[in-house]
Amino acid sequence: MTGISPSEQSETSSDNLALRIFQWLFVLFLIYLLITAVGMIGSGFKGATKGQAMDLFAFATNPFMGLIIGVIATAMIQSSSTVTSIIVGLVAGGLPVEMAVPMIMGANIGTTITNTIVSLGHINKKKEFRRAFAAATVHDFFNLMAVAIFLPVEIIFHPLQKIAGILASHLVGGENLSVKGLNFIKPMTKPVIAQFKKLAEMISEQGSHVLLIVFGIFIIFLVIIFIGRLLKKLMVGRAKNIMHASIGRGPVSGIISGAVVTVLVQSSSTTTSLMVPLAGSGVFKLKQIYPFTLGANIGTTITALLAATAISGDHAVLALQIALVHLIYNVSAVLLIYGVKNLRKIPIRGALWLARVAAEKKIYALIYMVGVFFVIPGLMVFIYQLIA
Amino acid sequence: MENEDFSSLSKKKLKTLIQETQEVLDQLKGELKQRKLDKRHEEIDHMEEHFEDAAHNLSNLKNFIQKVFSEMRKDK
Repeated sequence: MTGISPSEQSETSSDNLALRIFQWLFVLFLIYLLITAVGMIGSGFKGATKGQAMDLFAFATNPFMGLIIGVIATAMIQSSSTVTSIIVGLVAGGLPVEMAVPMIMGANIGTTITNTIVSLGHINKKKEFRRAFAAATVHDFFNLMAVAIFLPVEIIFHPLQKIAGILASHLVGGENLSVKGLNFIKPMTKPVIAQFKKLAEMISEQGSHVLLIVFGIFIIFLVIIFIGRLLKKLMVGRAKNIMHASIGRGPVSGIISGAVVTVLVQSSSTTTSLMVPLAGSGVFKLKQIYPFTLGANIGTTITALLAATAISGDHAVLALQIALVHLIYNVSAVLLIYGVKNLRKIPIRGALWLARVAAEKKIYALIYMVGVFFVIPGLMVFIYQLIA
Repeated sequence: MENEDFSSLSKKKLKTLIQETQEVLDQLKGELKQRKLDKRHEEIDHMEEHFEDAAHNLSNLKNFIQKVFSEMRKDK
């Protein structure tokens, strides 16, 4: 018996409460920083391109290039939340939504590299590695399939862009229904953005807009890292309860709990990476992991939606539109691919086959990762530049 | 069980035996299912550790690449 007295116990619990309150306040501060940083990117991009964003991103007019930018950027920094927040900022600064849509789809593919790397931790046990690698790559196969289906349709008919546009103008208000006057975010973020503008001008007058974008990207990057770490600590108990509740309740419950846990920890790669050791141990089957992974795709869209609240004025509708594209795309992909029995099985079969091959010869896992996330996109950039 | 002769049993007895066996079978299946669910709940209780494991990305990658090269050397 260590014999902790009641007064010591209450002191410890009040210390814990104070720490939790501090941590939550810090989370709120980080969200504020995220929103401010998105505003900074929007403002910087607007100033840097002087309304000619189309020219600056002329190389991305080919939707395929946009897709590749999304894949590589997300795979490099291992955070789709960071990339989608930056895209929202860029759209707010004048990047056409049409160009941003493939980038958002690319971010979905790029983010899957994280759980694939996590699965490599099981490399020393063949069976365990096979199960873990399959659990990780089922996400890759699903997201690749989603792009293969939705990108061509989007290029021809723009359904995601159109639906998101209608919803965004209803939510924010079009030119005639502007809620600019009621926007409380802008007065909160404007002074900080102005300070960063001054700082950027002090460093370089000519390059101040570009510097503002760099500051914004850097802040988003840091915010996503810190918010992820903090929310993991704060939300682990709640995430556990959600997962306990979803066990044995079927795929829809799995999708919902995957989405909710991702919203709580603000990171799809955290949620999908969490599934890897659960599958590796053999306690969870791939069939049970799969819906949870799809829920993560939906849950992660909350970050872009949150980032869109940073934007006011004329571009608020566009910023919300691209954030809604992310949400609608992921929900539609789940409904279509998981909803149709024959399509649903393809990612599972693909992941099982790849895992079997990779467990026999590890080099195939390496070839797959480097190929899908870097070499193929890089080659496509190269080929595109040669043709252009 | 294979060679057991049931021909002497009455129809009623056979039906009763089937019903009893079915009940035992259901109980066994239920027990197996419950154990699987319990194991899953146990795994989820270790979520903090899984979060920790998931954070060691770069060391995973390093170990993996070493493993790939050693496997390639062996194959040669």
